[in-house]
Amino acid sequence: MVKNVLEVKDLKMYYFTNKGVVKAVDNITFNLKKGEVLGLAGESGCGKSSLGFTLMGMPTPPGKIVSGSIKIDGREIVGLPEDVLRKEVRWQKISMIFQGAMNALNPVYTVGYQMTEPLMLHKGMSKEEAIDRAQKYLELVGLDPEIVYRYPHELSGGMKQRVIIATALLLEPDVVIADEPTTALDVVVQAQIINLLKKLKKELGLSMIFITHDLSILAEISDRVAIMYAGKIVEIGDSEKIYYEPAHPYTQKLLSAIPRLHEDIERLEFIPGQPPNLINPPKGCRFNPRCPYVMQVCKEQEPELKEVDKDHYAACWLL
Amino acid sequence: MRWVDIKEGFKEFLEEFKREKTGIAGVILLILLVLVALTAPYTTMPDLPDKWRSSAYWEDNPKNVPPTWYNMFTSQKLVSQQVYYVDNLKISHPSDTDTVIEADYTFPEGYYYGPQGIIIKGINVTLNAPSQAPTMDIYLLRPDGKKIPLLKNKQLSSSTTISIGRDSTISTNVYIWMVNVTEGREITPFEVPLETILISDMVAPMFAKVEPGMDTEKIIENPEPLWGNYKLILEVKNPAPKYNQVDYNNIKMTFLGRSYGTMGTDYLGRDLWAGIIWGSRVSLTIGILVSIFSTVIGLVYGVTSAYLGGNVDEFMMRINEIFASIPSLPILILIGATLGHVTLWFIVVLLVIFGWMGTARIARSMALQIKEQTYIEAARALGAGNGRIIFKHILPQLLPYAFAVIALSVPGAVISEASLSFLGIGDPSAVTWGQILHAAQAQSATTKGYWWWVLPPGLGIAVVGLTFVLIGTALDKILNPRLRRL
Amino acid sequence: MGYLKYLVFRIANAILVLLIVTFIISALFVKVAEESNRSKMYEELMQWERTEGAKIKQSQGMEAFEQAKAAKKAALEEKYELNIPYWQKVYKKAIRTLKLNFGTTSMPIFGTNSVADIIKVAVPRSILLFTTATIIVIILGIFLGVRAARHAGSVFDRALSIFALLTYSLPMWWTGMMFLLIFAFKLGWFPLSSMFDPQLTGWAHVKDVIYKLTLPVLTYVFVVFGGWAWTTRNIMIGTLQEDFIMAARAKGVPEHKIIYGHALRAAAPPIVTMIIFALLGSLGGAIISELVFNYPGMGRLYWVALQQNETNLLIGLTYFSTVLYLAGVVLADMIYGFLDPRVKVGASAKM
Repeated sequence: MVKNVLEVKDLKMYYFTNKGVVKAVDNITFNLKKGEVLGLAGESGCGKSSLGFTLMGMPTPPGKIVSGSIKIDGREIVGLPEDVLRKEVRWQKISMIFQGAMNALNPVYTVGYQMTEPLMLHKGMSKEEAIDRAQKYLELVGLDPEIVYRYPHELSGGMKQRVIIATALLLEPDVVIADEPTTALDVVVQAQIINLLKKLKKELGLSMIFITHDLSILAEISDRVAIMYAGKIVEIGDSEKIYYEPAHPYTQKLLSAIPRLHEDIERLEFIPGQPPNLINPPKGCRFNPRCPYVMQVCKEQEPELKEVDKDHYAACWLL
Repeated sequence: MRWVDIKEGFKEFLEEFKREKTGIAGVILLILLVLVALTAPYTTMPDLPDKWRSSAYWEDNPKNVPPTWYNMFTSQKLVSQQVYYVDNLKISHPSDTDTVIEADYTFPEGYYYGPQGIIIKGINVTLNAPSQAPTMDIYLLRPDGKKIPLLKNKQLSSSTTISIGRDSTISTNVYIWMVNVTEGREITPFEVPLETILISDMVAPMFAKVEPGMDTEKIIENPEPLWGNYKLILEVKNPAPKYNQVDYNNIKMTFLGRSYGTMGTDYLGRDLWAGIIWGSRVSLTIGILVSIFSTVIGLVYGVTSAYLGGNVDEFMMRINEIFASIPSLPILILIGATLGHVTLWFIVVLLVIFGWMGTARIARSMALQIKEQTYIEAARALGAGNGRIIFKHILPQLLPYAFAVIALSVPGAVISEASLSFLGIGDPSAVTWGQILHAAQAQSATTKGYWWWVLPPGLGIAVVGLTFVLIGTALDKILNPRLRRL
Repeated sequence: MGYLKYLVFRIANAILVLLIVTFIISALFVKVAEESNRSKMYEELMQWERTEGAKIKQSQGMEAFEQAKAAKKAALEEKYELNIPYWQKVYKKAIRTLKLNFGTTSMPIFGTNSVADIIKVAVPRSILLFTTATIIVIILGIFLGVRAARHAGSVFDRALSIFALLTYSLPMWWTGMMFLLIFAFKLGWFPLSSMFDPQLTGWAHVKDVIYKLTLPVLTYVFVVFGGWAWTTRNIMIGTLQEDFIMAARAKGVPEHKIIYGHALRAAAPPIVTMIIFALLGSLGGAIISELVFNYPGMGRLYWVALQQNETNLLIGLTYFSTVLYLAGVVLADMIYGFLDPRVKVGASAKM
């Protein structure tokens, strides 16, 4: 059996705002195996990105980890002091490919500076060594190594995204979190980036969590898929299973909202209603106000994740 | 953008504004300021600007004295103004030709110095026989029983004003009397040191301890107050009552205070409180007018430039930049100084000319974003003209921003106007805070410690500024989402 | 657009503005001078009529008098330059101004009558005051602003914001008057007049200058630093919310390096622009404040020029203020261009 590089158990991360407590990540449990890509999908505002940052041990203020455990390569990181996290965990054990190719690079520093910074900081490399390493990784993501001397504004969106990917891989971390890496890129570049990630996965054996709102991309790259709704995982399992035999009504709705090439669908569906307010989520199943199959029990009790099939879990009273 | 949307948006905005405490504080301050400015003629005096520059009008006021409430904070208490009219005076006629007028004045215990001076006016004389003109003697009877002969055989005419403290003859007489008491010898007026009586305060010794053996100069330098009841006696001799009539009905005798009114007086004896209240009018008017005009011009300029785009945009922004790099204050000073008489309106125009550039630049960048939106394209496709698109579709979206800019640019305009006035460039027919401070600077009020002259006008400027800053930042906070959550 | 091209462009712009301002100054000056010269000319002509003119009238008759009068008038017009067209005079005056030839004053100031010399004495003093104060303000403003941005919403942040709002609406010169009243008149810590003692030399002179400079500098710093700190704070808050700050945190960069390295460095270009414009805006106020303190710089000269109607001096002062101001703008542009790689390297080099 392949070992788990990431084990998340009962993780809760709440935002403590003036208006109330926002339960952005609520009781989340999942594992990530070595060399596996886990797709994390859901509507905007369902807590996917919050989960991503929480896994890095840096929930965005005013967020705080309330309880639960995150084990990276067997080491518990919840409760580690900030400077231990900074010195020993971030970017070395777990790194991130940021969304929004526009802003993840600081406009006033050269690409080289931004890439070598973690190398010199964590590995104690000299500047020359670090530049060398950075150039190697730039080549790996298909860029001209000379780019280290350029500023971000001199690069195109796709190039910037490649730089960000290369930066995330520099320290060969156990887990990489890709947070919507293809959003805001045009379709051709999107495809290039996805292919690049696929190639890297094969060559480097990347273990990756791929966060996106775009299910069609997940199909391309992920081995397993987790569907999030209102701060909870409602369904998790092998991609094939999720795509062809979705168990949860929300997943079914999400999938029928994607246009497909090979099937005839009468019309594209949409999910009526709005994602719930996370300060005061609905009682019972959080999807119940929008669910077409809503029952009395859904409004009263919260469903647990149940095994539908081998390695395929869903949280719904229908099952 | 439809009218309903604007109304809806405005309502929402109002709701949010109500939650901004600083904004509400600003609005309350603004209402207060406007009330003060509007009621100035009723709360102080009407037509102050006409009177402000006539020094005769302020003759009956003490000069350079602090407000009366200052006594609460000082151990050296200062007497306040006391005015006597015919009803408060004891007028007797010992004979046909003689009239004696007595004024009782109490120099209360614990007070420092006596009055700053005494002014007697309003004795009407009808003179038909000039050779036999009426004459007047004035004495001050002190609580220690000493009597100071202040004036002898002063010929009276209708316009006679006797001003104890400013009249050098009286000061000379006081000096002669003092030498007489302290050294027991009589001196002639020619022996009196002229500088002493011109520069020193010769009224304070009148109300101070003067005993034989004391040093005259020391008393003048450092008078020790003599508290008690004083009597000012006027003896009028009218040798020809048949021809020359003397009428006392309008007599006014003022014992000038060492403190005055709510805000004290300046070097001409002007009531600074009235000046401060009236000054708010100019400050508010100029501040608001300048910021409204410059914001509107800036908005229209910026939006037009953004909308037309291309070379026109380039050219308009070049002009904008040139204006922005002209240092406004030196140029304003030069223009003001060379043109001589400057009206308030002209100052408004000048400040607007140098005040629209920043708004234009920001409006342009905002309009550039709006311009890209599809409904603008749609409007153009439907054949809407440039003017219509700019005024109907782009400008309304910038309106909330405009309000914030208007509010935030008021302090700058107010300070600019005050700075010009402070340098002596301004409308001479208005009373402004800057002009009051100009006089204070010219009279070295700061180095003499006349805080009541320096503090209030600047505080006024600061309060007007603060009012609009509070409103402006509250607006900005609502309209600028980045700062909103903090 | 490369950095050099950018700089040349900025300098050309400044020179263009200087030319325009010079032209405005000259036009105003010539207008005033023309009026006063015309009245002077008529005065002199009348003087002549009463003396020599009367003699000619007596001895040679009316006709000869008229002729002589016309000749005299022409001569006087020549003398007062009234026969030259307005714009030509403006042009001439503008050229003279550009050559720093401002003429003389009627009363000697700083021991000389030449306007250029007088201003040359005053300008370095103003610059000394202004730069000293500005350096203190920059350090204070950035340090406090960054601190407030890091703890946005804290008591410190609120206090700073309120302080900034309060000082934003204070006229600097009035604050100076109040400081004089409090610290010089009441407490006696500082001199009432900041005029230098001309007898001192060497170290004693330096001490004297520092002693006289303190209160004006304090005033400037007090009025200005709150606003700057607040501006810095607002820009920093914006920058701290950027993705690249999050990215730096994720990379495990230490916090102080994130704040003073990544965030402040990225926020520097807008901070510099805002601050320089605020600085130039306060230049006028600073100059006026000088006269409150009787500091012998440009501000006092302004006061003297306005009180004694020294138009030549006023022209010179305006010109020099403009030059100083534009130098500040160009300096700001240089720093901005240097700090922002988008200007320094240029977007055209895109691959």
